[in-house]
Amino acid sequence: MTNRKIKHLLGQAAFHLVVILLAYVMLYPILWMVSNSFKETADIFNTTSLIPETFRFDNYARGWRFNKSVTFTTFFYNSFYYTVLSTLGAVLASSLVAYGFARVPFRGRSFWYGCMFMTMMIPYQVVMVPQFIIFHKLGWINSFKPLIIPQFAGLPFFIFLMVQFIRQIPYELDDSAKIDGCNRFSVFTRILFPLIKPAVITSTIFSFYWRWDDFLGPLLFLNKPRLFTVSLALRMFSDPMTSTDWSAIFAMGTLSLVPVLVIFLIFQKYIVQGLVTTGLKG
Amino acid sequence: MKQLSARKRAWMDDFSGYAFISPWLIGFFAFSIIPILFSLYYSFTKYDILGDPVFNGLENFRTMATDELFWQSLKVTFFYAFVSVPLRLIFAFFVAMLFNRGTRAIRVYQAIYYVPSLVGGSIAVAVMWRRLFMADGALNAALAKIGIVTDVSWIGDPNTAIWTLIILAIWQFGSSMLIFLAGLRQIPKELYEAASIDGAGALRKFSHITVPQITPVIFFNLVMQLINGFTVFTQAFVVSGGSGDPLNSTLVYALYLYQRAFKYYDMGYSSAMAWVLVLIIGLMTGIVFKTSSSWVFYEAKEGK
Amino acid sequence: MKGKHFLILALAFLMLVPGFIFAQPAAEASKASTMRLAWWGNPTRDERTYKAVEMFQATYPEITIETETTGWGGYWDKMNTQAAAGSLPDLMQHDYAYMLQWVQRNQLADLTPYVQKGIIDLSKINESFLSGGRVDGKLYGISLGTNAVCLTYDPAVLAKAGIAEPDSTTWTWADFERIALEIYRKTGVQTIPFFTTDPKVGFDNMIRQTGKATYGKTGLGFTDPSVLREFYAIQLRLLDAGALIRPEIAFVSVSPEEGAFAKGQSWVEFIWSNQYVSTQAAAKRPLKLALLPNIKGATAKGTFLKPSMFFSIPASAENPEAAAKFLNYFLNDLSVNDFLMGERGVPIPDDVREHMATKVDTINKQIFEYISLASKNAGPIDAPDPAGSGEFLKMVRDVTQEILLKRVSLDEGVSRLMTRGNQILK
Repeated sequence: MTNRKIKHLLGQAAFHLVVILLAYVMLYPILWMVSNSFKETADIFNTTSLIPETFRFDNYARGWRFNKSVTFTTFFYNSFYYTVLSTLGAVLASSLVAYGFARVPFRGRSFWYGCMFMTMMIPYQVVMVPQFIIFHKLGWINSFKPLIIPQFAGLPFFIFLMVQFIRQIPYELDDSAKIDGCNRFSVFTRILFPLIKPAVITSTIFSFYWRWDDFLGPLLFLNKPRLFTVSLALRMFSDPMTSTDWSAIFAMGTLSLVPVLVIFLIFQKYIVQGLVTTGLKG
Repeated sequence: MKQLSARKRAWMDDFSGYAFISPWLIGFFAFSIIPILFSLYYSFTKYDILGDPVFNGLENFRTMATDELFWQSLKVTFFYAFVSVPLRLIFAFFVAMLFNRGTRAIRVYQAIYYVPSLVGGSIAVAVMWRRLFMADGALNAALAKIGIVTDVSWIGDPNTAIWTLIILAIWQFGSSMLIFLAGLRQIPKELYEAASIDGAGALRKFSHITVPQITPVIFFNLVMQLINGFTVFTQAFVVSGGSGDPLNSTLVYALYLYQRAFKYYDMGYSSAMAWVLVLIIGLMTGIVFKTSSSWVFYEAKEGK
Repeated sequence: MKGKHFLILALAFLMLVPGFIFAQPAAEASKASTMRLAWWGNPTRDERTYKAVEMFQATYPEITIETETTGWGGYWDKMNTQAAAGSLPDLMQHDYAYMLQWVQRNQLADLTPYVQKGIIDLSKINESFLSGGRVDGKLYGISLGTNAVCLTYDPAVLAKAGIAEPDSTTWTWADFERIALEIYRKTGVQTIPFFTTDPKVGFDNMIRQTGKATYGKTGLGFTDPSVLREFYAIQLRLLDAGALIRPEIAFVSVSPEEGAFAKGQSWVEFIWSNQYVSTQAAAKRPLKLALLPNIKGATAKGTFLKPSMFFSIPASAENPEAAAKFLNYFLNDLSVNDFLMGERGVPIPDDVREHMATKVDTINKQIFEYISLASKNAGPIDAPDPAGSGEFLKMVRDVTQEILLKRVSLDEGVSRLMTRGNQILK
């Protein structure tokens, strides 16, 4: 082996070593949670080792059963319903809106763009009461309507993100499409939307995760326990006055991580794939 | 192509512009504008949620000026934002650069480094964080193993508690990393190939291609992280149990705002606080936006 | 052109989905005999409450109950928001800390008419258990269980240190201090600061013993700082002797399992009696309950019986009569209480309590016995917490930590607490 190759291999090894070490540190809290899901509640706070002394699988069964009347089957179903529909609406609507802000020179554009920004800066706590009153007057309380329908307006975060990505794409592409006879809408569907795939994928991942984790929304708008989502159910386990079933909480918490992680893993490769740039620079 | 008059074209542009942003616009008018206007109104009232709002002019703002906890929460939030945002972004950028390849091993690493972001503000995080940073927690145990013996209660000591919050923010850098990755991946490979042909080394490629190309993403991340930094709530709630403890060293602005609204039944004051926050954040993002034209490089030229 | 097809499909979906959601079956038409019941809890309480609902519906088939439950975290955010929108349930669990404010804002209904009509039977209930739910003579909430402040200790530690267990009706704070120091010297086990979650409960007990109360009509209900000072002075003395757990550790909000007492670092813990179940479960060793010590020269009783939680009927309830019926059933029916097992606290009707005392497990029996002891050594309950109490309690917790962290001197801390207290509570 040549010197150069050895150096290269050593460099690789060092790289992987450092990354793995750091990965262990980053993952430690989560490994702790996962290992707790297999421990007895007593062991969780008394031992520091990550390996359970006795593997208990009934934590999962107990946690899943919850309070017998409603189980995590219902909670997972509700969470998926809420999350998937919201994500579809949020991502698609955001892309449409982003295109409008980024590419179409219409009067008042900066003003509305500024309004959109302002909505991001207002803490939810102060608008939640008036918003609740509006939904109450509409009769939407105790359903998923107040949670899902507003998502179809797009989210400022995604809109802003996609605007940034669209502005990376040269106008020449738009122009050549227009010369080919496209109107603005088909420029969007044929050229721009496919090109901002990384932004769309990223938004999908984020939206899924945010909706999955959303606690305050379901708390306020869902009354019947059989509508509850996983995020809500996880917080119902503990009450300061009684003993908490920590192993069950960690078991369900671990399970709750799985869908979000899976979504990430599925979509991850599209981001890594990157941009296919055919004929960008003439 | 048909020759349209400039006026007609402008009108068509307006129409299609509004058509495209109509989902957002409708949602804005239906669900956002009224609550926002209401919250603005509340900031000039005394409103305890259970009764009706009572107009009291600038009273809330006057109280704010002398409210010790208000200034404390502002101080905590500024410190938190200005420390965690740069650290988080630098970390995210650095790791994204490191992982900017397509190999399978890299994908695994990416996923691992992203997982902390997925845990968010769940109740598990609260317990985890205490487990790590209490006097008899994992951090002190690890330090002891390498010879540093300490029994500082990181999470309970007013001098150090805010750092546990900052570490939490940095630990969850995965989302910023993801966006940087997406941005890096969107840089056309041809640019790098052309530069190689011209004989450019790695450093030159980085400073002349990568950095300029990624400025829109840096801009995005900077603005979003600033906004998030100033509106942080869940993490502080989770780490301090909603109290801002110890001794208000983790009392971020949004937490204090929440306490005043829902624990002290003082929604009027909270709304006033909210609008002060909007002004502050607006000012800062405004500055970032204004300066952006000098350092952010867009591929597409504006004005068509 | 796959991209285009996909996009058209997606956009069509975008249009259709909101319609789909709207087409969902409308909420059940509200019959005159449907009622909403809300409580905070945990899976165990939920299970038992559902059983109670089931049994009620079997007895009163014409009433349907829709149950709504959340954990404690979030319950009040939700209820307050519903109050603002006028969409509260028919029967809700309430808390002493918020009751007065809700009553002052006319959010709760007076239950007296239902009692007079005989729908709610209070005949077997001692008035002292009801007074906590009264404001200006009217009844706004009925206690679901009785609570009293206490401390729980590990008798094994006392035995190891060779100390005799105290008589909790006669012991004084001087005794407590002496015991704490001796335990530390002989076994190394420390003492936890008093009531870290809510220090006011601790010094309130001492102030009551002087015949005063923490809250007055406006501002504080006491002017003499000496008792308040002693509350902190004891802890500072223990701290200086190394016998007090450091505040940086003790004031971190933890669940019982993570706490110093469960880990055996403290021989004592200060709690409310209905926290005993979780405290004991976390501690995993036999414990005993005791009244808080007396101060020197006490002229009144510090302990009092507090409702652990209430059921209240919101003023905006759509079906208050059904709610009253359920309340009555929940409160008085023996077979229902067999399932509830006093999980919310010691039941207040005499016959229910006597019945339960024989059926509950050993741990709950300890609580029943303690309540019995406390009721013989209790004074009347003070007026409900006034507006501003939320802010006051937080300030107290802050100043307590400042004093124990030695950031302010004892006297400065005490005077700060009193000055600020009077400001906040005006």
